[in-house]
Amino acid sequence: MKKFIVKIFIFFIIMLALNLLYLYIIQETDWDFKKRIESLNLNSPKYDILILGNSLAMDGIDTRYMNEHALKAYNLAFAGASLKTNYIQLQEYINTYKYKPKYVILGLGSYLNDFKSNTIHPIVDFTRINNSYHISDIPMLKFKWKFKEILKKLVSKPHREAYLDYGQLKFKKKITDKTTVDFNNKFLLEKYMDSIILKDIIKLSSANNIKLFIIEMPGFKKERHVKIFDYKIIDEAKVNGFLLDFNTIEFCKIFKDDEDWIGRSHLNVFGAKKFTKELLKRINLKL
Amino acid sequence: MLFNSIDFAIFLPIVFILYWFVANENLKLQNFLIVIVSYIFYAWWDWRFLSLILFSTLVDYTIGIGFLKQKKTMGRKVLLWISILTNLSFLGFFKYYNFFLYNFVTAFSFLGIKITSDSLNIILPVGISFYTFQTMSYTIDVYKRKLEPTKNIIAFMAFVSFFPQLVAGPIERAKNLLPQFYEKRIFNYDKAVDGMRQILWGLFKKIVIADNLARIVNRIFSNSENCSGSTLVLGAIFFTFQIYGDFSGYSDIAIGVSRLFGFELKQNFAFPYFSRDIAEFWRRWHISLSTWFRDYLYIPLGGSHANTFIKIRNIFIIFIVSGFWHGANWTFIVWGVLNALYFIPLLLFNRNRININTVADGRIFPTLKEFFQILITFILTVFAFIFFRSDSMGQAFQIFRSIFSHTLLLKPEILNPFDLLIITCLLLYFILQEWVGRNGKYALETIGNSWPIILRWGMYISIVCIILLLGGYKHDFIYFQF
Repeated sequence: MKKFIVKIFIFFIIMLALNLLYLYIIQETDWDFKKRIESLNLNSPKYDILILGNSLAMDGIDTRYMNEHALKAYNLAFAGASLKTNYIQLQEYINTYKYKPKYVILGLGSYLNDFKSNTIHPIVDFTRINNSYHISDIPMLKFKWKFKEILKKLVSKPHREAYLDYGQLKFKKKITDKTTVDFNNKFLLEKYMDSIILKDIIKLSSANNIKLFIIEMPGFKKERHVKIFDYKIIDEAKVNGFLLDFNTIEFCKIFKDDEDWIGRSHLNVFGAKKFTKELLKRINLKL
Repeated sequence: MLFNSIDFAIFLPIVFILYWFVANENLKLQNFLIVIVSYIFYAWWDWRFLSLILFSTLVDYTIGIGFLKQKKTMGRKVLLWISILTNLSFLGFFKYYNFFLYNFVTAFSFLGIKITSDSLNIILPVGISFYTFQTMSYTIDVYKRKLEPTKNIIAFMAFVSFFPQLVAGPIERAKNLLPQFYEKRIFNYDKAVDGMRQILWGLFKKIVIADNLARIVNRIFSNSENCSGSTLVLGAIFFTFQIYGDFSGYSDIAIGVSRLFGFELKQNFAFPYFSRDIAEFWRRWHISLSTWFRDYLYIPLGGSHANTFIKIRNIFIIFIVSGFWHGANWTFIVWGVLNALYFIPLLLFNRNRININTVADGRIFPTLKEFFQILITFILTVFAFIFFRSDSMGQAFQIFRSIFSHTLLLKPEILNPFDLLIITCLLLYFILQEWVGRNGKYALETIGNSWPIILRWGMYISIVCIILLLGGYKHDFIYFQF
């Protein structure tokens, strides 16, 4: 029995060491981890614009372009981040740094995302201040999907060449949008209006005098809406929140089917630049 | 409680410590502990159904004692039928009530008679088909005087509820498992290490193979009307591997866990996808159920020692009942019929026992003939599993229509190339490992035993890492629903 117990113990020590090694490797190589660590350790940040949201915003909003046009911006969006995660990120940022952003742009896709999810992005969850750890937080389990990202980098050149720039993940890879327009698509306003977490984000922004732009990110042709939907005042009392739809057939004419996409409804570096340019024309960011 | 859950990862070491360090000195305490932890294990799903297990246990225990006192044949027969009817009525109510009701109403509506009858919202108690068959085998064996009835109620309760195999088998015979509860278990290092190895391989099959394939298979079968023939073929092949990984993975974990506690369970799968004909496949697939039907149904009906008509009838009965055991749906019955049709020619031409040994025994590769035999058997199995996996006969026919159409030649569109590459690599590794280890009771049993410890541990740790890093998202074991 003693021999068996000793071997089990040694096995667990080895697995512990391998888990720590894995955590170290993904911290050093993974874009999300790098961004998270960077965003928690910014040295006196003076960002006026914060980008929040999921992969649509992470890939599709060009923060370098903003910075080049005298708008100090940082992209905090994560692939797969829920609204709950966005709320936590904003709250953390406000509590951690003295300099408050003037604007938050929350990039979402009602055609892709569940606005009611209460899950917290594993990387944000794992690195939260005062987070209590659980047995399921074993790095190889919690960040298992990151292993596939490592493998992708091994086999795919575009993945190896992708990089973070002011928090935006820049991908040069191109795929073609082969979908067709569905003229029955409508903007899912109720989805936004019914989201309790979104209301919390609006309240948090209002309380900190941050102007919030919630934007429906451009998508593939089959996701686009027919009618132009300009904006909707979210918080009428303070007029601190706007909801804007950039996923209309009219607006998306700026994109080329075979030039501007990296994946389903995700803009690549070229599409992101075009989009950011048009975005800034439509929303007036006074600093 | 699922074997592939954090809950079980905490439960198992606690039970192990209590069993070997607290209850070690006392056989009664060991058995009592097994009963308690088995009931906790089962109650994790739904404590209400514990009453069913308890009732079934008490009925068969009492009837067993009754056999001791009852010497007359008629009296013994009555006792036997009480047991069988009690067990089958539970099974019939929870598993088949709505099926029979629906078909009854449909049959009358064909005759122009309208019957209104509401189906009941019945929850199927997990593992009912498994423990019911296990207790029935006890009563039948005692009736046939192949086994002495037990007076030890704790041992009998432990036999019925033994947690590693309670919910999805292997279906143990009282003759094999019950006597193990009469003798004090002593920790055996080699047995425990072997158990750990088998658990590891079971987890690999379940988490890496079955759960990864489940995501794809579910997507294809839930959207089958929009899938091309080629996609559906791929879906059926993936399901064939999924169900094997899922079910044999569960059996491996169950057998491995039992060995940690000093018990030996029957082998339930013996590399069925390397079978050279359907008869061999059925000797290697879900062995504990096949042999149950053979001993308690096929042989009493006359088996193969009868005229041709009886032989064919018996084969149909055993396969239809086996299909029906899996679920209350015509798809399972057709799956059984199809397997009977595959089997009958082998039986009639007396070729059902020509492939007894392991394929390519003593060789690395199979011969070309063996390879094609394996391939054909596999294709037949895939074909039959389409019925097994379909939600209805309508869906099964729709799938076959799509498969036998021009869309069979289209490129399957289910995965991005990267995911397909990973799945293919994992499947190839799995098949290779199973092939190399096909002489053992499970694939890892014989592999690496003579290697230096660093290499051997390297292999085990690599498998653990693959399970953690490339495992699919958690799905229930398929056979829980049966």
